[in-house]
Amino acid sequence: MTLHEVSQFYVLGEDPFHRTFVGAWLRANGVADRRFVVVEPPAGKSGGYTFVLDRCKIEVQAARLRNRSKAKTRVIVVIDADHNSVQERLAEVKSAAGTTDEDIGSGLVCVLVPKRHIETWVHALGPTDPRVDEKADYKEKKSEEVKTAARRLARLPSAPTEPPSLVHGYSELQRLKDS
Amino acid sequence: MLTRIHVDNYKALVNFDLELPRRSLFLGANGSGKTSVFEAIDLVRQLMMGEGLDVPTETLTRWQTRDVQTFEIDARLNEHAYRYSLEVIHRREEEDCRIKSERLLYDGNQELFASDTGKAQLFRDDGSKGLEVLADRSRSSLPIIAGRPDNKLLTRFLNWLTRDVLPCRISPALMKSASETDTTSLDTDLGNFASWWRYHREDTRKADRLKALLAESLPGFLGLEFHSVAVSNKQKRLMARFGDNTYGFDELSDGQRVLIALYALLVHAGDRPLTLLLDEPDNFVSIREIQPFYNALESNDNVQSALISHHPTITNLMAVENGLMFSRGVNAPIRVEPFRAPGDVGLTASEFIARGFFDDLA
Repeated sequence: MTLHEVSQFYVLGEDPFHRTFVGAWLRANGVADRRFVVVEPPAGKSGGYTFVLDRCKIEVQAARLRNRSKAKTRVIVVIDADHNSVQERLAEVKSAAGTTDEDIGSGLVCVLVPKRHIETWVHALGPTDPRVDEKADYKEKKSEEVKTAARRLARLPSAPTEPPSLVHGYSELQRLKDS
Repeated sequence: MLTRIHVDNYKALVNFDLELPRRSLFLGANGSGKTSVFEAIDLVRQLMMGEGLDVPTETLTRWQTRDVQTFEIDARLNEHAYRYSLEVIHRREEEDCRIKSERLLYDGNQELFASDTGKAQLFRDDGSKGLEVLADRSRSSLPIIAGRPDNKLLTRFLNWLTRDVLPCRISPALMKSASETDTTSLDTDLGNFASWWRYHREDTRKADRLKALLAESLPGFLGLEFHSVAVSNKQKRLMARFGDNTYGFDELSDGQRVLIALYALLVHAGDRPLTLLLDEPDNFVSIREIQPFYNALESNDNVQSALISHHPTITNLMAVENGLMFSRGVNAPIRVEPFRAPGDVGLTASEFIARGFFDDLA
Protein backbone atom coordinates (compact mmCIF):
# COMPACT_ATOMS: atom_id res chain seq x y z
CA MET A 1 0.00 0.00 0.00
CA THR A 2 1.18 3.50 -0.78
CA LEU A 3 0.16 6.77 0.80
CA HIS A 4 -2.23 7.34 -2.08
CA GLU A 5 -4.19 4.24 -1.17
CA VAL A 6 -4.80 5.49 2.35
CA SER A 7 -8.23 7.10 2.73
CA GLN A 8 -7.43 9.07 5.80
CA PHE A 9 -4.65 9.93 8.21
CA TYR A 10 -5.37 10.93 11.79
CA VAL A 11 -2.69 13.30 13.00
CA LEU A 12 -2.23 13.42 16.75
CA GLY A 13 0.40 15.81 18.03
CA GLU A 14 1.35 17.62 21.20
CA ASP A 15 1.52 21.11 19.81
CA PRO A 16 0.83 23.15 16.66
CA PHE A 17 4.32 22.57 15.25
CA HIS A 18 3.83 18.80 15.41
CA ARG A 19 0.67 19.11 13.39
CA THR A 20 2.23 21.61 10.99
CA PHE A 21 5.20 19.31 10.44
CA VAL A 22 3.11 16.22 9.66
CA GLY A 23 0.68 18.18 7.50
CA ALA A 24 3.52 19.61 5.41
CA TRP A 25 5.14 16.17 5.09
CA LEU A 26 1.86 14.62 3.93
CA ARG A 27 1.23 17.42 1.42
CA ALA A 28 4.78 17.07 0.12
CA ASN A 29 3.96 13.42 -0.52
CA GLY A 30 0.88 14.33 -2.51
CA VAL A 31 -1.72 13.77 0.19
CA ALA A 32 -4.60 16.23 -0.21
CA ASP A 33 -5.78 18.32 2.72
CA ARG A 34 -9.09 16.52 2.82
CA ARG A 35 -7.36 13.23 3.50
CA PHE A 36 -5.99 14.05 6.90
CA VAL A 37 -7.76 14.93 10.09
CA VAL A 38 -5.90 16.78 12.79
CA VAL A 39 -7.12 15.65 16.17
CA GLU A 40 -8.25 18.82 17.89
CA PRO A 41 -6.20 19.54 21.00
CA PRO A 42 -7.27 21.00 24.34
CA ALA A 43 -6.66 24.70 24.86
CA GLY A 44 -4.16 24.49 27.70
CA LYS A 45 -0.50 24.95 26.82
CA SER A 46 0.89 22.30 29.12
CA GLY A 47 -1.46 19.43 28.36
CA GLY A 48 0.02 18.25 25.07
CA TYR A 49 1.94 15.24 26.33
CA THR A 50 -0.94 14.00 28.46
CA PHE A 51 -3.40 14.71 25.65
CA VAL A 52 -1.47 12.58 23.17
CA LEU A 53 -1.21 9.64 25.55
CA ASP A 54 -4.86 9.93 26.58
CA ARG A 55 -6.11 10.29 23.05
CA CYS A 56 -3.99 7.82 21.11
CA LYS A 57 -6.02 4.82 22.26
CA ILE A 58 -9.23 6.37 20.86
CA GLU A 59 -7.59 7.23 17.56
CA VAL A 60 -6.05 3.77 17.15
CA GLN A 61 -9.37 2.12 17.91
CA ALA A 62 -11.12 4.46 15.46
CA ALA A 63 -8.59 3.62 12.76
CA ARG A 64 -9.02 -0.10 13.38
CA LEU A 65 -12.79 0.35 13.12
CA ARG A 66 -12.51 2.33 9.91
CA ASN A 67 -10.12 -0.23 8.44
CA ARG A 68 -12.84 -2.85 8.65
CA SER A 69 -14.41 -1.13 5.67
CA LYS A 70 -12.50 -0.44 2.51
CA ALA A 71 -11.29 2.86 3.90
CA LYS A 72 -7.68 2.42 4.92
CA THR A 73 -6.73 4.64 7.81
CA ARG A 74 -3.42 5.43 9.45
CA VAL A 75 -2.62 7.20 12.70
CA ILE A 76 0.43 9.45 12.93
CA VAL A 77 1.40 10.28 16.49
CA VAL A 78 4.02 12.90 17.31
CA ILE A 79 5.30 13.22 20.84
CA ASP A 80 8.49 14.92 22.01
CA ALA A 81 11.04 12.80 23.84
CA ASP A 82 12.09 15.82 25.89
CA HIS A 83 14.67 14.49 28.37
CA ASN A 84 13.57 10.88 27.99
CA SER A 85 14.84 8.43 25.43
CA VAL A 86 13.01 7.74 22.18
CA GLN A 87 12.48 4.13 23.23
CA GLU A 88 10.94 5.19 26.52
CA ARG A 89 8.45 7.42 24.73
CA LEU A 90 7.66 4.72 22.18
CA ALA A 91 6.93 2.32 25.00
CA GLU A 92 4.66 4.86 26.65
CA VAL A 93 2.68 5.40 23.45
CA LYS A 94 2.44 1.68 22.77
CA SER A 95 1.14 1.06 26.26
CA ALA A 96 -1.30 3.96 26.23
CA ALA A 97 -2.63 3.19 22.76
CA GLY A 98 -2.81 -0.54 23.29
CA THR A 99 -1.05 -1.10 19.99
CA THR A 100 0.07 -4.55 19.01
CA ASP A 101 3.05 -5.63 16.97
CA GLU A 102 0.56 -6.25 14.17
CA ASP A 103 -0.56 -2.60 14.35
CA ILE A 104 3.03 -1.50 14.04
CA GLY A 105 3.87 -3.99 11.33
CA SER A 106 0.80 -3.16 9.28
CA GLY A 107 1.60 0.53 9.43
CA LEU A 108 -1.61 1.32 11.28
CA VAL A 109 0.31 3.52 13.69
CA CYS A 110 3.34 5.63 12.96
CA VAL A 111 4.97 7.21 16.01
CA LEU A 112 7.41 10.06 15.61
CA VAL A 113 9.49 10.96 18.66
CA PRO A 114 11.67 14.00 18.07
CA LYS A 115 14.38 14.44 20.67
CA ARG A 116 14.49 16.89 22.33
CA HIS A 117 11.58 18.38 20.44
CA ILE A 118 10.33 18.92 16.89
CA GLU A 119 12.41 22.10 16.65
CA THR A 120 15.48 19.87 16.97
CA TRP A 121 14.45 18.17 13.72
CA VAL A 122 13.67 21.51 12.12
CA HIS A 123 17.16 22.65 12.96
CA ALA A 124 18.69 19.39 11.74
CA LEU A 125 16.82 19.65 8.45
CA GLY A 126 17.72 23.30 8.06
CA PRO A 127 19.97 24.78 5.43
CA THR A 128 22.98 24.95 7.74
CA ASP A 129 25.02 22.33 9.56
CA PRO A 130 22.66 19.39 10.29
CA ARG A 131 24.49 18.40 13.43
CA VAL A 132 22.40 19.05 16.50
CA ASP A 133 22.51 18.39 20.19
CA GLU A 134 19.39 16.45 21.16
CA LYS A 135 19.67 17.83 24.68
CA ALA A 136 19.73 21.47 23.59
CA ASP A 137 16.71 23.72 23.32
CA TYR A 138 15.98 24.77 19.72
CA LYS A 139 12.73 26.61 20.37
CA GLU A 140 12.07 29.95 18.62
CA LYS A 141 11.38 28.38 15.24
CA LYS A 142 8.75 29.80 12.93
CA SER A 143 5.91 27.92 11.29
CA GLU A 144 7.41 28.46 7.82
CA GLU A 145 10.68 26.87 8.95
CA VAL A 146 8.75 23.87 10.26
CA LYS A 147 6.98 23.42 6.92
CA THR A 148 10.21 23.81 4.97
CA ALA A 149 11.93 21.21 7.14
CA ALA A 150 9.06 18.75 6.67
CA ARG A 151 9.18 19.21 2.89
CA ARG A 152 12.92 18.69 2.94
CA LEU A 153 12.49 15.49 4.93
CA ALA A 154 9.95 14.27 2.36
CA ARG A 155 12.44 14.85 -0.44
CA LEU A 156 15.62 13.52 1.15
CA PRO A 157 17.34 11.28 -1.40
CA SER A 158 18.50 8.95 1.33
CA ALA A 159 17.99 8.35 5.01
CA PRO A 160 19.49 10.91 7.38
CA THR A 161 22.36 9.79 9.53
CA GLU A 162 21.71 12.01 12.50
CA PRO A 163 20.30 12.89 14.94
CA PRO A 164 19.19 9.43 16.09
CA SER A 165 15.56 10.43 16.76
CA LEU A 166 15.26 11.77 13.21
CA VAL A 167 16.80 8.59 11.84
CA HIS A 168 14.13 6.64 13.69
CA GLY A 169 11.40 9.03 12.57
CA TYR A 170 12.49 8.78 8.94
CA SER A 171 12.30 4.99 9.10
CA GLU A 172 8.82 5.21 10.64
CA LEU A 173 7.65 7.45 7.81
CA GLN A 174 9.21 5.15 5.24
CA ARG A 175 7.37 2.25 6.84
CA LEU A 176 4.17 4.29 6.59
CA LYS A 177 4.82 4.83 2.90
CA ASP A 178 5.67 1.22 2.22
CA SER A 179 3.18 -0.57 4.44
CA MET B 1 -47.28 18.10 13.86
CA LEU B 2 -45.73 17.31 10.52
CA THR B 3 -45.48 13.54 10.43
CA ARG B 4 -44.36 12.67 6.92
CA ILE B 5 -43.17 14.15 3.66
CA HIS B 6 -43.17 12.35 0.36
CA VAL B 7 -41.57 13.87 -2.72
CA ASP B 8 -41.01 12.42 -6.15
CA ASN B 9 -39.16 13.76 -9.19
CA TYR B 10 -38.11 17.00 -7.47
CA LYS B 11 -34.38 17.78 -7.56
CA ALA B 12 -32.64 14.65 -6.25
CA LEU B 13 -35.71 13.52 -4.32
CA VAL B 14 -37.04 10.47 -6.14
CA ASN B 15 -39.81 8.49 -4.48
CA PHE B 16 -38.48 10.02 -1.30
CA ASP B 17 -40.36 9.26 1.87
CA LEU B 18 -39.46 10.57 5.30
CA GLU B 19 -41.31 10.28 8.58
CA LEU B 20 -40.64 13.15 10.93
CA PRO B 21 -40.62 12.67 14.68
CA ARG B 22 -40.83 15.51 17.20
CA ARG B 23 -37.09 16.10 17.00
CA SER B 24 -34.81 15.44 14.09
CA LEU B 25 -31.39 16.51 12.95
CA PHE B 26 -30.57 16.30 9.27
CA LEU B 27 -26.93 15.36 8.81
CA GLY B 28 -24.92 14.74 5.70
CA ALA B 29 -22.44 16.11 3.23
CA ASN B 30 -22.97 19.32 1.32
CA GLY B 31 -25.31 18.60 -1.55
CA SER B 32 -26.81 15.51 0.06
CA GLY B 33 -30.32 16.95 -0.21
CA LYS B 34 -31.14 18.14 3.29
CA THR B 35 -32.26 21.59 2.23
CA SER B 36 -34.25 20.19 -0.71
CA VAL B 37 -36.62 18.56 1.77
CA PHE B 38 -37.29 21.89 3.46
CA GLU B 39 -37.70 23.53 0.07
CA ALA B 40 -40.29 20.97 -0.96
CA ILE B 41 -42.27 21.62 2.21
CA ASP B 42 -41.99 25.36 1.67
CA LEU B 43 -43.14 24.99 -1.93
CA VAL B 44 -46.41 23.46 -0.75
CA ARG B 45 -46.68 26.00 2.04
CA GLN B 46 -46.29 28.91 -0.36
CA LEU B 47 -49.01 27.44 -2.52
CA MET B 48 -51.30 27.21 0.49
CA MET B 49 -50.59 30.85 1.23
CA GLY B 50 -52.11 31.75 -2.12
CA GLU B 51 -48.91 32.19 -4.09
CA GLY B 52 -48.88 31.12 -7.71
CA LEU B 53 -47.29 27.81 -8.60
CA ASP B 54 -43.58 28.46 -8.96
CA VAL B 55 -41.73 25.25 -9.70
CA PRO B 56 -39.04 25.78 -12.33
CA THR B 57 -38.53 23.07 -14.93
CA GLU B 58 -34.97 22.66 -13.67
CA THR B 59 -36.37 21.18 -10.47
CA LEU B 60 -37.41 18.04 -12.36
CA THR B 61 -34.99 15.29 -11.44
CA ARG B 62 -32.30 15.42 -14.12
CA TRP B 63 -32.02 11.72 -14.74
CA GLN B 64 -35.77 11.15 -14.88
CA THR B 65 -37.86 11.60 -18.01
CA ARG B 66 -41.22 11.85 -16.25
CA ASP B 67 -42.98 15.22 -16.32
CA VAL B 68 -45.00 14.90 -13.13
CA GLN B 69 -43.76 15.82 -9.69
CA THR B 70 -45.49 14.62 -6.54
CA PHE B 71 -45.56 16.23 -3.12
CA GLU B 72 -47.34 14.83 -0.09
CA ILE B 73 -47.49 16.25 3.39
CA ASP B 74 -48.93 14.31 6.31
CA ALA B 75 -49.85 16.00 9.54
CA ARG B 76 -51.40 15.05 12.83
CA LEU B 77 -53.51 17.84 14.27
CA ASN B 78 -55.74 17.46 17.30
CA GLU B 79 -55.21 13.70 17.16
CA HIS B 80 -56.44 13.51 13.56
CA ALA B 81 -54.50 12.63 10.45
CA TYR B 82 -54.37 14.87 7.37
CA ARG B 83 -52.76 14.15 4.04
CA TYR B 84 -52.33 16.79 1.38
CA SER B 85 -51.22 15.56 -2.06
CA LEU B 86 -50.14 17.67 -4.98
CA GLU B 87 -49.17 16.66 -8.49
CA VAL B 88 -47.43 19.19 -10.71
CA ILE B 89 -47.15 18.53 -14.43
CA HIS B 90 -44.43 20.21 -16.46
CA ARG B 91 -44.32 21.15 -20.12
CA ARG B 92 -40.61 21.06 -20.73
CA GLU B 93 -40.69 22.81 -24.10
CA GLU B 94 -42.61 25.78 -22.73
CA GLU B 95 -40.74 25.70 -19.40
CA ASP B 96 -44.14 25.87 -17.80
CA CYS B 97 -45.95 23.89 -15.14
CA ARG B 98 -49.48 23.47 -13.84
CA ILE B 99 -51.26 21.72 -11.05
CA LYS B 100 -52.33 18.29 -12.23
CA SER B 101 -54.17 17.33 -9.10
CA GLU B 102 -54.65 18.22 -5.47
CA ARG B 103 -56.26 16.31 -2.68
CA LEU B 104 -56.72 16.79 1.03
CA LEU B 105 -57.70 13.73 3.04
CA TYR B 106 -58.79 13.49 6.65
CA ASP B 107 -58.31 10.45 8.87
CA GLY B 108 -57.45 8.13 6.06
CA ASN B 109 -59.93 8.49 3.25
CA GLN B 110 -62.42 11.24 4.04
CA GLU B 111 -61.99 13.84 1.33
CA LEU B 112 -61.93 17.50 2.32
CA PHE B 113 -60.82 18.79 -1.05
CA ALA B 114 -60.16 17.28 -4.48
CA SER B 115 -59.13 18.86 -7.73
CA ASP B 116 -58.01 16.96 -10.81
CA THR B 117 -60.14 17.70 -13.83
CA GLY B 118 -60.03 21.46 -13.92
CA LYS B 119 -62.66 21.57 -11.21
CA ALA B 120 -62.17 21.79 -7.49
CA GLN B 121 -64.60 19.97 -5.24
CA LEU B 122 -64.99 20.98 -1.63
CA PHE B 123 -66.39 18.66 0.99
CA ARG B 124 -68.01 19.65 4.24
CA ASP B 125 -66.70 18.37 7.55
CA ASP B 126 -69.48 15.77 7.60
CA GLY B 127 -68.22 14.35 4.29
CA SER B 128 -71.02 15.71 2.10
CA LYS B 129 -70.20 17.50 -1.13
CA GLY B 130 -69.93 21.25 -0.90
CA LEU B 131 -69.10 23.89 -3.42
CA GLU B 132 -67.61 22.98 -6.79
CA VAL B 133 -65.55 25.65 -8.50
CA LEU B 134 -63.41 25.95 -11.61
CA ALA B 135 -59.80 25.39 -10.67
CA ASP B 136 -57.08 27.77 -11.73
CA ARG B 137 -54.28 25.34 -12.45
CA SER B 138 -51.58 27.91 -11.83
CA ARG B 139 -52.47 28.17 -8.15
CA SER B 140 -54.27 26.16 -5.52
CA SER B 141 -57.96 26.76 -4.90
CA LEU B 142 -57.58 25.84 -1.23
CA PRO B 143 -56.39 29.19 0.14
CA ILE B 144 -59.27 31.13 -1.39
CA ILE B 145 -61.83 29.09 0.49
CA ALA B 146 -63.35 31.16 3.25
CA GLY B 147 -63.58 29.56 6.66
CA ARG B 148 -67.11 28.49 7.51
CA PRO B 149 -68.66 26.45 10.30
CA ASP B 150 -68.94 23.44 7.99
CA ASN B 151 -65.33 23.38 6.76
CA LYS B 152 -63.37 23.79 9.97
CA LEU B 153 -61.23 20.74 9.25
CA LEU B 154 -59.97 22.12 5.98
CA THR B 155 -59.21 25.56 7.40
CA ARG B 156 -57.53 23.95 10.41
CA PHE B 157 -55.05 22.29 8.05
CA LEU B 158 -54.55 25.45 6.02
CA ASN B 159 -53.91 27.57 9.09
CA TRP B 160 -51.49 25.02 10.45
CA LEU B 161 -49.43 24.79 7.29
CA THR B 162 -49.34 28.50 6.56
CA ARG B 163 -48.87 29.82 10.09
CA ASP B 164 -47.44 27.08 12.24
CA VAL B 165 -44.96 25.45 9.92
CA LEU B 166 -41.98 27.73 9.65
CA PRO B 167 -39.14 26.84 7.33
CA CYS B 168 -36.30 29.17 8.25
CA ARG B 169 -33.07 29.72 6.46
CA ILE B 170 -32.08 32.89 8.24
CA SER B 171 -30.22 35.51 6.23
CA PRO B 172 -29.39 38.27 8.69
CA ALA B 173 -28.22 40.59 5.92
CA LEU B 174 -31.79 40.61 4.58
CA MET B 175 -33.40 41.32 7.95
CA LYS B 176 -34.22 45.01 7.70
CA SER B 177 -35.48 47.41 10.33
CA ALA B 178 -38.16 48.95 8.14
CA SER B 179 -41.70 47.63 8.31
CA GLU B 180 -44.55 48.90 6.15
CA THR B 181 -47.23 46.76 7.73
CA ASP B 182 -47.67 43.80 10.03
CA THR B 183 -47.94 40.22 8.86
CA THR B 184 -48.64 36.79 10.26
CA SER B 185 -46.47 34.98 7.75
CA LEU B 186 -42.74 34.86 8.12
CA ASP B 187 -40.52 34.73 5.04
CA THR B 188 -38.17 31.78 4.89
CA ASP B 189 -35.12 34.04 5.03
CA LEU B 190 -36.77 36.08 7.81
CA GLY B 191 -36.33 39.18 5.68
CA ASN B 192 -39.72 40.39 6.96
CA PHE B 193 -38.95 39.62 10.59
CA ALA B 194 -39.69 43.27 11.55
CA SER B 195 -43.20 43.11 10.07
CA TRP B 196 -43.81 39.69 11.61
CA TRP B 197 -42.75 40.83 15.05
CA ARG B 198 -44.84 43.99 14.55
CA TYR B 199 -47.89 41.77 14.40
CA HIS B 200 -47.00 40.40 17.85
CA ARG B 201 -45.85 43.66 19.40
CA GLU B 202 -48.96 44.26 21.49
CA ASP B 203 -48.48 40.96 23.28
CA THR B 204 -46.52 42.07 26.32
CA ARG B 205 -46.07 38.49 27.50
CA LYS B 206 -44.10 37.72 24.37
CA ALA B 207 -42.01 40.85 24.75
CA ASP B 208 -41.24 40.03 28.38
CA ARG B 209 -40.42 36.45 27.55
CA LEU B 210 -38.08 37.47 24.75
CA LYS B 211 -36.32 39.91 27.03
CA ALA B 212 -35.93 37.25 29.72
CA LEU B 213 -34.64 34.61 27.31
CA LEU B 214 -32.04 36.95 25.85
CA ALA B 215 -30.99 38.63 29.11
CA GLU B 216 -27.78 36.66 29.39
CA SER B 217 -27.04 36.12 25.72
CA LEU B 218 -27.30 39.82 24.89
CA PRO B 219 -26.23 41.73 28.00
CA GLY B 220 -28.25 44.89 28.47
CA PHE B 221 -30.96 43.87 26.00
CA LEU B 222 -34.29 45.27 27.15
CA GLY B 223 -36.45 44.34 24.23
CA LEU B 224 -37.65 45.25 20.76
CA GLU B 225 -39.69 48.35 20.04
CA PHE B 226 -41.05 50.15 17.01
CA HIS B 227 -40.36 53.79 16.20
CA SER B 228 -42.44 55.76 13.73
CA VAL B 229 -40.67 57.06 10.69
CA ALA B 230 -41.23 60.83 10.44
CA VAL B 231 -42.75 60.93 6.98
CA SER B 232 -45.23 58.17 7.57
CA ASN B 233 -47.00 56.84 10.59
CA LYS B 234 -47.54 53.60 8.76
CA GLN B 235 -43.89 52.81 8.30
CA LYS B 236 -42.18 51.74 11.46
CA ARG B 237 -38.61 50.98 12.31
CA LEU B 238 -37.73 48.00 14.47
CA MET B 239 -35.33 49.00 17.20
CA ALA B 240 -33.50 47.03 19.86
CA ARG B 241 -33.14 48.67 23.24
CA PHE B 242 -29.92 48.17 25.15
CA GLY B 243 -29.96 50.14 28.40
CA ASP B 244 -30.72 53.80 27.67
CA ASN B 245 -30.00 53.52 23.96
CA THR B 246 -31.85 52.07 21.01
CA TYR B 247 -30.29 50.67 17.86
CA GLY B 248 -31.86 49.98 14.51
CA PHE B 249 -32.36 46.23 14.10
CA ASP B 250 -30.16 46.38 11.02
CA GLU B 251 -27.43 48.03 13.06
CA LEU B 252 -27.05 44.89 15.16
CA SER B 253 -24.49 42.29 14.24
CA ASP B 254 -25.54 39.33 12.11
CA GLY B 255 -25.24 37.06 15.13
CA GLN B 256 -27.35 39.33 17.34
CA ARG B 257 -30.09 39.48 14.72
CA VAL B 258 -30.12 35.71 14.34
CA LEU B 259 -30.21 35.16 18.10
CA ILE B 260 -33.13 37.54 18.54
CA ALA B 261 -35.00 35.89 15.69
CA LEU B 262 -34.39 32.36 16.98
CA TYR B 263 -35.62 33.20 20.46
CA ALA B 264 -38.55 35.15 19.01
CA LEU B 265 -39.60 31.93 17.26
CA LEU B 266 -39.46 30.07 20.55
CA VAL B 267 -41.46 32.81 22.24
CA HIS B 268 -44.01 32.57 19.45
CA ALA B 269 -44.27 28.84 20.11
CA GLY B 270 -45.44 29.67 23.64
CA ASP B 271 -48.85 30.43 22.16
CA ARG B 272 -49.30 27.66 19.65
CA PRO B 273 -47.54 24.48 18.62
CA LEU B 274 -45.01 25.19 15.91
CA THR B 275 -43.06 23.10 13.48
CA LEU B 276 -39.69 24.77 13.03
CA LEU B 277 -37.60 23.69 10.08
CA LEU B 278 -34.32 25.38 10.84
CA ASP B 279 -31.68 25.30 8.14
CA GLU B 280 -28.35 25.84 9.86
CA PRO B 281 -29.65 28.06 12.67
CA ASP B 282 -26.19 27.99 14.21
CA ASN B 283 -24.71 30.07 11.42
CA PHE B 284 -23.54 33.45 12.72
CA VAL B 285 -24.20 32.47 16.32
CA SER B 286 -21.23 32.37 18.69
CA ILE B 287 -20.17 29.02 20.08
CA ARG B 288 -21.18 30.16 23.56
CA GLU B 289 -24.79 30.57 22.46
CA ILE B 290 -25.26 27.29 20.59
CA GLN B 291 -25.99 25.06 23.53
CA PRO B 292 -28.25 27.51 25.41
CA PHE B 293 -30.39 27.81 22.29
CA TYR B 294 -30.44 24.07 21.82
CA ASN B 295 -31.48 23.65 25.48
CA ALA B 296 -34.27 26.20 25.06
CA LEU B 297 -35.47 24.50 21.88
CA GLU B 298 -35.29 21.04 23.40
CA SER B 299 -37.23 22.04 26.49
CA ASN B 300 -40.05 23.68 24.53
CA ASP B 301 -42.75 21.04 24.26
CA ASN B 302 -44.74 23.23 21.89
CA VAL B 303 -42.12 22.94 19.19
CA GLN B 304 -41.54 20.19 16.69
CA SER B 305 -38.10 20.81 15.28
CA ALA B 306 -36.17 19.58 12.30
CA LEU B 307 -32.69 21.02 12.13
CA ILE B 308 -30.05 21.01 9.48
CA SER B 309 -26.70 21.54 11.10
CA HIS B 310 -23.03 20.89 10.62
CA HIS B 311 -22.14 22.28 14.02
CA PRO B 312 -20.24 19.80 16.21
CA THR B 313 -22.13 20.78 19.36
CA ILE B 314 -25.56 20.31 17.79
CA THR B 315 -24.37 17.13 16.11
CA ASN B 316 -23.00 15.65 19.32
CA LEU B 317 -26.09 16.55 21.31
CA MET B 318 -28.67 15.31 18.81
CA ALA B 319 -27.23 12.80 16.38
CA VAL B 320 -27.45 9.65 18.46
CA GLU B 321 -31.14 10.02 19.28
CA ASN B 322 -32.42 12.25 16.50
CA GLY B 323 -29.90 12.11 13.67
CA LEU B 324 -30.93 11.35 10.10
CA MET B 325 -28.03 10.76 7.77
CA PHE B 326 -28.56 12.04 4.22
CA SER B 327 -26.47 10.77 1.36
CA ARG B 328 -26.50 10.63 -2.40
CA GLY B 329 -24.21 9.62 -5.19
CA VAL B 330 -23.57 11.48 -8.42
CA ASN B 331 -26.85 11.69 -10.37
CA ALA B 332 -28.46 9.40 -7.83
CA PRO B 333 -31.42 9.85 -5.50
CA ILE B 334 -31.18 11.00 -1.93
CA ARG B 335 -31.17 8.35 0.74
CA VAL B 336 -31.81 8.78 4.44
CA GLU B 337 -31.08 6.48 7.30
CA PRO B 338 -30.93 6.95 11.05
CA PHE B 339 -27.55 7.96 12.39
CA ARG B 340 -25.78 5.01 13.90
CA ALA B 341 -22.42 5.34 15.60
CA PRO B 342 -20.09 3.02 13.68
CA GLY B 343 -18.63 1.71 16.91
CA ASP B 344 -17.94 2.42 20.53
CA VAL B 345 -14.40 3.73 20.48
CA GLY B 346 -14.76 7.04 22.29
CA LEU B 347 -15.35 9.31 19.30
CA THR B 348 -18.19 11.83 19.35
CA ALA B 349 -20.78 11.84 16.57
CA SER B 350 -19.18 14.85 14.92
CA GLU B 351 -15.75 13.19 15.13
CA PHE B 352 -17.10 10.10 13.38
CA ILE B 353 -18.45 12.33 10.62
CA ALA B 354 -15.28 14.41 10.39
CA ARG B 355 -13.19 11.25 10.10
CA GLY B 356 -15.16 10.18 7.07
CA PHE B 357 -16.97 7.20 8.57
CA PHE B 358 -20.07 8.08 6.57
CA ASP B 359 -18.34 8.91 3.31
CA ASP B 360 -19.21 5.50 1.93
CA LEU B 361 -22.97 5.79 2.43
CA ALA B 362 -23.71 7.28 -0.96
